[in-house]
Amino acid sequence: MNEHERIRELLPFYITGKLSPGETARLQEHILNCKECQQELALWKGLDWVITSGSTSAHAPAAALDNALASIHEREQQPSLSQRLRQILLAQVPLVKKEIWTASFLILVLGFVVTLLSDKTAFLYALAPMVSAGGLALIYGSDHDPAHELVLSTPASQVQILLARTVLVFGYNLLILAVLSAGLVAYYSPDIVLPLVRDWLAPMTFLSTLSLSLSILIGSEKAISLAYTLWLSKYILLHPDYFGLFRRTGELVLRFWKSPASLYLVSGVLFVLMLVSLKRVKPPGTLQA
Amino acid sequence: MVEMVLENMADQYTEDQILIRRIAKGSDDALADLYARHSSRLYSYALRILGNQALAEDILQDTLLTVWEKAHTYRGKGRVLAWLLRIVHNKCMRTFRSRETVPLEDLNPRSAPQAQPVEGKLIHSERCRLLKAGLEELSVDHRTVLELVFYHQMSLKETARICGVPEGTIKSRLKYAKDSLRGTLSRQGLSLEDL
Repeated sequence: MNEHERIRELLPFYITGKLSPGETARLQEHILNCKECQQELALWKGLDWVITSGSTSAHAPAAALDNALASIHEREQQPSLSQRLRQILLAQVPLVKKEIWTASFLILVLGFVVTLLSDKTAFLYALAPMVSAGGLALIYGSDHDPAHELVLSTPASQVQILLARTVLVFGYNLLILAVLSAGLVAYYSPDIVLPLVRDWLAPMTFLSTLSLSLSILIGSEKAISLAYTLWLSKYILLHPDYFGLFRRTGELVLRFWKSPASLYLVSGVLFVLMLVSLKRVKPPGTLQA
Repeated sequence: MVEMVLENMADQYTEDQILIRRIAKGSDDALADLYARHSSRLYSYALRILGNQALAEDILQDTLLTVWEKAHTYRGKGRVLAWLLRIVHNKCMRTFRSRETVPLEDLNPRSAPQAQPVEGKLIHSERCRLLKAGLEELSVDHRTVLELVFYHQMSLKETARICGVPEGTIKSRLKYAKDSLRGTLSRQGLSLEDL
């Protein structure tokens, strides 16, 4: 691009005074001897005149500021995300069956005592997933929540409510088990307890998710029965009397229960599918319209 | 002591930049002051792009909310007005492109009450009438560039930043707009240079 072309591109900004002193001087020097640029400048001046003279400034409505400030203050008064989450969690505490808290605590403490007395740490490992699965099967549905029909009438909050209750009950069991595991460290070496924790955490997550999902589809009692059968079948299949009969199946089942990655993956998929289908599935016991 | 500090601040920052810093700290008054200083230009810009008072008002209100939320991200590069115009421009473009047609009643001075005094002067000029018609026929991208350069007196760099395109594109759009308007007049046997 030659100097003439460059100058032509600068002409609009020369008119509005937006060129640097150097550019202005260069442009003025060029334009003195360039007829074409003089004509082009006249053209831009005409256009500038039309645009600016025909463009009276419109007065902005005062309501825009008032509305914006009102909206800003309204947003500021809304609770933060953490406050909102805390509110949802606390609101669900009294709505979860009280028996879940007591029963979970007593069974797990009893399991801890039996573990110590029998000197078999595997007992707690077997018990933890069952307690959690039993609790989660009882957190959702008209059998367990007097306000369930009301919950169903607000589809957006169903997921929030289910998530909050899951966090509460699963977290509660997790907390108790963490404390009890810490107690086990006092009696056993951490080398024994830490693998034990690793062993029950993944099955507990899977069995709890399965139990919760099934409870929405077929009801709490059937969900608990199925989840417990699945969990206990592992012990039956591994029993020396039956292992020979179901050798191949037994090995597959054992491999699945011993693989935390598989258990977490299946749990995650199951949980997402459950949340997605929550709006479509009407839990057993729901009043018919 | 306080006065000295304020004087130093004034040296370092323009009044607009100080307002933006105060808005970032949550000052309603600063937002109101900024509104008093620039709202007419921002509203006019939105009105002339969208050609609809209700939409322009919504854009202005939405812009204030964005300024309130994003004031802390303003780094002081360039004029505050250019930053504000960029926010308005982006919102206008989103609105404009989400609608199939935008009524241009407010772009036409004959239907804009605030433009009546000026219209009185222009009505005698056939060239101006044709030119205005030609301006309305330009695409929104070309019209906004002319608006920013001549009406809002933005530099090439500022115009490019507001529109979110390279400077070369702004030059191309100016050339296209000029050629297009020149063509509009020449078809009627008139010349832009005669204005």
